[in-house]
Amino acid sequence: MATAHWSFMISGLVDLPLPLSYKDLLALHAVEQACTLACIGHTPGGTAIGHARWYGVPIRALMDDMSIQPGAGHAHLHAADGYATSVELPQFSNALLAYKLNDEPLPPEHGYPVRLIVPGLYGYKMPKWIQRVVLADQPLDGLWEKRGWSPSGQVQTTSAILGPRHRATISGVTTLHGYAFAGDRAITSVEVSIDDGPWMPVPFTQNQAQEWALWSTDWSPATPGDHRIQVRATDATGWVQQDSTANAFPNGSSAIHSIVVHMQEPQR
Amino acid sequence: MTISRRQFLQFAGIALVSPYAAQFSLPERAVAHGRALSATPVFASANADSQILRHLWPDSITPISARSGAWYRADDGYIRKTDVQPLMLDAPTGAPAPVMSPPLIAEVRAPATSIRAWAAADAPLVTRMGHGAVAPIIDLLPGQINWYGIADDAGDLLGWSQTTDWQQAVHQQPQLPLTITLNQQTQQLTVAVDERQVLQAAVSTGSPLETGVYALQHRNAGTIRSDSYHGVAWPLQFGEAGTMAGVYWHNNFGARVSGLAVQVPTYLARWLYGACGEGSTIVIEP
Repeated sequence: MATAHWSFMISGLVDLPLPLSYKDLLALHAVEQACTLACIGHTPGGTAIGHARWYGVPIRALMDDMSIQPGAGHAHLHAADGYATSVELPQFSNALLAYKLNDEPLPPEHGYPVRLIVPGLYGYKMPKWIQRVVLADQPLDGLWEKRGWSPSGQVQTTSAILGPRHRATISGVTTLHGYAFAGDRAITSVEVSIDDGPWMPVPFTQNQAQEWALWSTDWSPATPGDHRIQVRATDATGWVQQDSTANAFPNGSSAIHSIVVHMQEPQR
Repeated sequence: MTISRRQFLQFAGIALVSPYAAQFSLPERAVAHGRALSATPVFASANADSQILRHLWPDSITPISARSGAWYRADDGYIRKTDVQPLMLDAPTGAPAPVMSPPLIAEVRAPATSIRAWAAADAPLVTRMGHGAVAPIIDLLPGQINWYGIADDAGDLLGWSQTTDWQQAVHQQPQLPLTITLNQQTQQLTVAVDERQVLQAAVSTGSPLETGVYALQHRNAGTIRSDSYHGVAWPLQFGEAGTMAGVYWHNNFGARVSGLAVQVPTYLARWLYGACGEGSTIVIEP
């Protein structure tokens, strides 16, 4: 989509609609915001999750100049390709109109020229090629909501083991590493269990709540053979992952990720 | 640093006072180790308010070199005695173990083992057993990984466990008419042969026991179940006084704990099981 054809407007329950051209958008004060994106269909061990630095204009800065009418509780989001969804107004006010990804213009598959980034929600609540926002008193049932997916789109607490890979053969001390993510809720604990044994807290780093936490720890298997490794996370609300079923429908998956590795027998 | 068997038993709260009790199935000299029962903090000094240097992985093995009251000295710090199961290892648990032909009675040689619904590491967990647990092996499934079929206390298949975690359980034949005296107040057990005391040990009891003198009723085939724990080792049944057996899930001997009537460390349970001959009695004191 060419920038010349892109325009943006916030309307609905506002005293005066706010139209923006791409040129107008570039003239506004922009910020960089790191944010992890996950698809609601993402399951532990899957690849539908990623992290990036997004650059754009905070919606809150636009809303400061708008007079929003009482009763406005939802933002209906419409994209150039006809896609629609809605988010609650507080979440919309925390969103970013992003036009750069890791210091580069958004690639087409990420919604060039502009997409919405909404911390704490799954990707289907962050339309690419966003063009129109209508503030309303009721939510909008969009493409995925009509098919039964969560109306709120709130990210479930998740974690995964990125290394070693499932069914890898290891020997001696092995570095286990991965991520944990809970939308806009900070991660407060990451724990690993070996062979369904007691949980072991492992160190992790997390810059901000909307970024994934990265964890890493060294482990030395006590015996040869196959070993099952699991990881679980706890978020700032105290929620501890405990679900063992990976089905993401309809609210996203909070299943515990599990892999099996093979420890070689020592050389005789 | 290696220590003697007698020193190790002292670590574990067992005092030998006669050569009768020297036949523990433990190496004469070896490095004492602790099996972390959970994520176990290593403290900078023998004080729970001191700095935590690191955590031991659950079911990992760490050398311990001394005991001071409620603390063990580890490589680089101090561990609470109750956080680890003391082990006397003359060989690393990760060394290959021979695959044995069922049926047999076996004990867990690994720090812990998982019993699974079928022979795969990601199969649903049936139960876990810690080092020293004892169970009948009734089947063998050979393959790239060898699996034993583990039986429950009724002899039915409980689940599957990797062979490398197990070794044959051995004990001596019963030979002595023991008089075992249990003081519930002090949680101390003394064992005498012909009125001569041979050892004293810290134990744990569950619900209060009726005082009295009870005869040895029977020795089980090596294992029973207590609450959710399988593989409870070397049980001796003393009539209505209940069962005395080795437990692998705590090292809080000397204090009351819930569960089985009389709980002792697994190596003491093995010795009692092997030594406890015809005419043995237990005296339950308040």
